[in-house]
Amino acid sequence: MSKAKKLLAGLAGCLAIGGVMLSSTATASEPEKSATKQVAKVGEKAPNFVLKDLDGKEHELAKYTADGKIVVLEWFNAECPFVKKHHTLNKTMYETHKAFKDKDVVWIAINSGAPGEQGTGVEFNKKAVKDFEMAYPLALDESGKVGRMYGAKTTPHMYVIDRNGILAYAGAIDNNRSARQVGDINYVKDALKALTSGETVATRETEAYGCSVKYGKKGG
Amino acid sequence: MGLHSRLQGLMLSFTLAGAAGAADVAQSEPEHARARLISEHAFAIPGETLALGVTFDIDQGWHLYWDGCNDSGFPIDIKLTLPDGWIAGGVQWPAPDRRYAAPGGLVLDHIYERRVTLIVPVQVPESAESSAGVNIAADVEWLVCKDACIPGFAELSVAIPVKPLHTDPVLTREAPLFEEARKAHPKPMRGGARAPYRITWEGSTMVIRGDSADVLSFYPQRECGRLVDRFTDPVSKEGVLRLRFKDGPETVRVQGVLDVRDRQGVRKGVYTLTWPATPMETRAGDTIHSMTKE
Repeated sequence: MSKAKKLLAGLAGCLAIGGVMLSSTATASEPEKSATKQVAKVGEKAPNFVLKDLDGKEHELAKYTADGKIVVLEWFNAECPFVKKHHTLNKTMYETHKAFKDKDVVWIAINSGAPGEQGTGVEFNKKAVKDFEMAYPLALDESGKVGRMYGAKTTPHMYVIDRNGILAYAGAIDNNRSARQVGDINYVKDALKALTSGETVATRETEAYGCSVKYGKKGG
Repeated sequence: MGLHSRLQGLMLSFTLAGAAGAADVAQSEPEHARARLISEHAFAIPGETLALGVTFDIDQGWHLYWDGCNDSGFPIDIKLTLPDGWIAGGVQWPAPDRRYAAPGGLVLDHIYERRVTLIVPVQVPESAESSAGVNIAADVEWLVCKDACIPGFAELSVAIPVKPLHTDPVLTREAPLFEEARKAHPKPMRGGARAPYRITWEGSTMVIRGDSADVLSFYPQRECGRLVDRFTDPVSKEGVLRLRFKDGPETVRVQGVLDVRDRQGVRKGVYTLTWPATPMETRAGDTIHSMTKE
């Protein structure tokens, strides 16, 4: 029963629960329109940001693109089964990063969870980086500002920014929305393959899938 | 603890009510949602439709996912294994509830809480021979979430006796769950003067007018990217729902569920909302969630 085995592995450590339950009726908790501040659009200039990673190092998008780098953003929450699917059950993120890290590709994982939400905190995330063998920086975006700017909905939610700072891809990592099985198309790999060989990205936008980003309950 | 002993610990078993036989189950630990494979009828009759269902008990505060336009989560997935000649129809999804997973209108999902039963109609072949029990298996996957999400799976099975033609059907003890589920199945919208909800277009805005005391909600199921704003538009003001689409009635395609409730939130009816008004290509037997939603 390899299926069960995989699932058990995926379940390990993802049982932390906290926070307040949101209402789920048809009429309650309407969002405030003004709170949606998504700026990022595929085909347009990716909004700049500066975030510190867990080691305190600053990462500024505009500096990377000014240096001719291609930048991958990966929305991250170590306790989300869909993140585990691509970090532990399968090594999608590790392998994709590895294949392109020497080709002017900078990969940054971002955790937009608000303090106290699932999967947050510096120490916890440092441990996750180690456990997941992540060979790239992880930055905390506790205010959710960068996440909202990019319209990051899920973990994972992937963005690829080309050398000119244009958002070239936004969406899912692959084409299988299951929490266990990987798809046969890795959209980020395809986008990076195209961009590193001077071609245009064929699939520029897909629907991301995963757990919701654990933005704070107070809105933004 | 080795994997083998852990798996043994996960083995549960239960008995279906009525004449439908015992079921052995491999199921993930019952973390916040528990699945059962049930039958509405105590036995199958050749040439008739047998209603099977997967029913979930969901812990308070936790939810499962509808098969529609969701920003997060994973819809319940059911794969039936049937004897030769038996044909499963499409999964019948009850209307869900809306849920914002984040304030500020960034993550919107359609979910089920407490209890949900997904019915799968099975066509029994004319040639089915009487038997003490044919084995039907269901491989079920889901994601149950509150603030955290936990994937679940179950390998369920049930033995259904086959009785000769002209036998009177007998309901199982589970039949009320089927009735309850059907109440939340979207019904086709009636057209004409007696239609309770009238659809008109203002440019590329679909306007649905109901009773001014009603609250109308639209749950997009396919063609997810066509709505201009699927966070705020799909809940009505004063009984009028205004859905802005990226293209007009000549080219737009819409498929979803219209949920009509009174101001206290009590459901009055659910309808299939499609445009063009004729039902779009149905996806019979499609129990696997599509990879892309467009």
